[in-house]
Amino acid sequence: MELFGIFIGATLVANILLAQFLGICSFIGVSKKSSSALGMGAAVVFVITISSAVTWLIFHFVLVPYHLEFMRTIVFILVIASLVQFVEMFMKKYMEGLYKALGVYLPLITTNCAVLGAALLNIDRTLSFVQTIVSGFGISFGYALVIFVFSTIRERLELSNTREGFKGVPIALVTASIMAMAFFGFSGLGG
Amino acid sequence: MNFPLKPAPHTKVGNRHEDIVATVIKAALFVAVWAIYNRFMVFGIETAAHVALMILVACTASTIAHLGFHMAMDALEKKSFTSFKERIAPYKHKIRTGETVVTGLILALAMQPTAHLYVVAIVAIFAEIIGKLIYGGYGQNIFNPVAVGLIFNALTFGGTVLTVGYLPDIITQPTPLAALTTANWIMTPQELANYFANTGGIINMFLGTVPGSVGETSRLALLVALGYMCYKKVADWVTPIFYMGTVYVIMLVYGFIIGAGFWYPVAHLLTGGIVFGAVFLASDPITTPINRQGKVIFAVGLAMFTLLIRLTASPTEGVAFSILLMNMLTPLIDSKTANVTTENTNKKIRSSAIAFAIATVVVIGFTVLTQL
Amino acid sequence: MEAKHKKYNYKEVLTAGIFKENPIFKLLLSLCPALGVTAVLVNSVGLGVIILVSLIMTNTIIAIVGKFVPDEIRIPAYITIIAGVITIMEMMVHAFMPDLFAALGVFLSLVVVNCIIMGRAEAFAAKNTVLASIYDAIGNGLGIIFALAVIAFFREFFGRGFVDFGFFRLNVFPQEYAIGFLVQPMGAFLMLGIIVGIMSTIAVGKNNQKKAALKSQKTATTKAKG
Repeated sequence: MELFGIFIGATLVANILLAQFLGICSFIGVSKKSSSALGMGAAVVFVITISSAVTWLIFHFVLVPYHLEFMRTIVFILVIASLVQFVEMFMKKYMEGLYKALGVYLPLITTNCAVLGAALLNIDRTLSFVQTIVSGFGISFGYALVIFVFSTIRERLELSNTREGFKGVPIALVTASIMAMAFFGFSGLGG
Repeated sequence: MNFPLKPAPHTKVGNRHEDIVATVIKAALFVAVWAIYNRFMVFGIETAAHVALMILVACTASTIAHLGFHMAMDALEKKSFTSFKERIAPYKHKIRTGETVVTGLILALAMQPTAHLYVVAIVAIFAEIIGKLIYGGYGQNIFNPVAVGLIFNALTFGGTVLTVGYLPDIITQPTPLAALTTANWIMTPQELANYFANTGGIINMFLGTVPGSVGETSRLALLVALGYMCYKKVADWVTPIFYMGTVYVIMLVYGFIIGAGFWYPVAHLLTGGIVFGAVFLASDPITTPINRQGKVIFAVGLAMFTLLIRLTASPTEGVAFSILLMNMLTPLIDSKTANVTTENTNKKIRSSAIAFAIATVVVIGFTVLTQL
Repeated sequence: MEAKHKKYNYKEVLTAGIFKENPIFKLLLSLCPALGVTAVLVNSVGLGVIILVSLIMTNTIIAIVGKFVPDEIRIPAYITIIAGVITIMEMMVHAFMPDLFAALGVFLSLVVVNCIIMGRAEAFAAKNTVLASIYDAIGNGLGIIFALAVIAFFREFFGRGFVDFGFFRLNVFPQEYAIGFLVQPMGAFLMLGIIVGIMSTIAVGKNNQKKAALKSQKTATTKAKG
C-alpha cells in the first residue's frame, strides 16, 4: 500500500519534469514527434529503474561502509554511463528491434539530469531497496507519461498559427507551465 | 491518419467564429443577469453591484490585454504603421464581435465573489494572454482560458488578503463546497440531511441563492444556458450530459459504499463548479475532442479526475484542474478516435463502456484504499 | 596541430558566450538550473558563479589532456574529469558557503551533467589551446550567470514585489499585489517561455527590418535602372 503511495507520489505529485525540473533539455529537445517521445520515455524508464537499484546497492554496500559518501556524484555518474553503454551493447546484440527503436536515445540519457537526479533524490530520501526501485520506476514512468502527452500537444500546436516569435520552444514552455498547473491538482493524491 | 488541417473550432458548417462567440456571450449574459438579480434579492445591493463590477472589470481588462498584446507583438516584429488607428485596425473586428470579452465574462462569473477588483483584472489578463493569445488567438488554444485563469487565481491569490471589505458577512462565509471538503466528503444520511438543511436546501442550491461564486451557484440558469447553446448548435450536449451523468453514477455507487444514501450524488452535483464546468468549460468546442466518441471519453475522464481530486481533499478547484488535465489529453484522444466511422457503433459503445468502467474503478478504488 | 598556431580573436570568443551564443537563451541548454534555482536571485547568481569556476577548470584540464585521450573512451573520460571537478566544488561550497549548499540542494551535484560543461569541453576545449579555452569558459560562464540572473530578477520582481540582491533589497510594490505564481515551479516555465519568446520576436523583427530594407534597396535599384 505504501509502495503504491510512493509510486503515485513519484509519478504524479512530484513529477520529475513538471515539479522538479529535471530532464528538461531532453523534454524540449525530443518532444517534437510523439514517436521519438515514446522511444525516449521507454529508454528512460529502463535506465532509471535499473540505475536506481544499482546505485542504491553501491551506495549502501560500498560508499557508506568506507565513508566515501562524498564520492557519490562521481560514482553514480560513472555507474550510469557504464550502465547505458552496457545496455546499448546488450540491446544491439540481443534485442535488435528494440535497439533500432531506442538506440539513438540511449547515449543522450547519460547526460539527462533526470537520471542522475533520480539516483540522488532516492538516496536523499533514505528509502529501502524495494522502495527505491518503485520510486525509480515511478519517476521514470512520470517522465515518459509527461513527455508523451507533451509531444501530442506539440504536434497539434504545429497546426496553430502562433505568433512568429513564439513558435516552437517558447510556446512549448508556456504549455509546460500550464501542464504543471494541471498536475498541481494531483498534490493531494500522495495521501 | 491526420484529419484536422484547419484549427478548431470544428463545428457544423455555417457556424462562423462570430456566431459561436455571440451565442456563448448571450448564454453567459443570461446567467450573469439571473445571478445578479438573485444576489440583489437575497443578499442586497452591494453584493449584486460587486458582481456586476467584477464582470465589467474582467471584460475591460481582457480587451485591453488583447489589444496590448497584439500591439506589443506587432511593434516587436517591427511591422510598420503610420498611425495609432492603423495599429488597432486589424483587431477592431475582434472587439466588435465580442471575441475579446468572452473569456473575461465567463471568468468573472466563476471567481469568488469577494475578489478584489485588482485580482479580477490580473486574472483576466493572465487568462486572456497566456490561455489564448500566446497560442495564436481564438480557436488556436489547447487549454481552456477560463480554466487557466481559475487555476492561476487559486494558486496566486488563494489565501490573499486582497478581498473587498464592504460585502455582507453571509457572502464571506465558507461555501457549501468548503463545508463538504472539510468533512472529507464522507457522511451518513443524517449528516447529509443536515448538510442540505444548513446550506439552504436542494431547491436553493439549484436556484443559486446560496453563497459561493456567482456562476457556480446559479445552476438552473446554467442549464437553461446550456439548452440555448445546444439549440444553436454551438455546444454538443454529449460532453456536459455525460460528464454530469458519470459523476452522478459513480457517486451513487460510492454513496452506497460509504452508506450515505440516495441523495449523496445530488450533493456532489449541487456543490461547487460541476454544473458550471459542464456548461461553459466542457462544452467549449475548441479545447475538447472533435467527434462524439472522443467527447464521451473526455466527459468520462473529466468526471474521473474531478471526483479523484475532490475525494482526496485536494485544492478546491477540482473542476478547473480536471478541465486542464483533459484538455491536455485532447490531442491524444483526437488522434486515437480519428478512425472511428459511423459503422463502428459496437466498437464505440464498447470503448465508452471500458472508459466508464475504468473511471469508476479508479475513483472508487483509489478513494477506498487511501481514505477509508 | 594547426590549432596551436590559430589566431584567436579572444574578444570574440569571450563575447560569443555572453550574447550571440548565450547557452541558455540561444542554445537552450542547461535549462534544468534555469528553472530550478531561479526563484531566488542570490541562489541563481551563486550557482552561476559555481558553473563559471567549474567551466574554467574543466575547460583548462581538457584543453591540456584532451589530445591524449583515445577517441573511444572520450566521453567517459571527460565525464570523470568533470565529475571530479564538481565533487571538489561541492565540498568547497559545503565548507565555505553552507547556506548556498543547502539552498541549491541536488542542483549543485547536477552541474556534472550540465550540457554546457560537457558541450564546451567537447566542442571547444578538446580542439583548441588552453588560453582560448579559458576565454571560452569565462564567456559561457558569464553568459549563464547573466541569463540566470535575468530570469531570477523578473521572477522576483513580479512574483514577490521586491528583489533581494543579498546585500540590498529593492522594494517595488507591496507583496500582496505580487503574482506569487511566478516564484512557484509552474511560473518558472512560464517566465522562461516568455523571455525566450520575446527574444525570438525581437529577432523576427530584426529579420523583418532587414527584409524590408532589402526590398526597398531592390526597388531603388530597379527604379534607377528603369
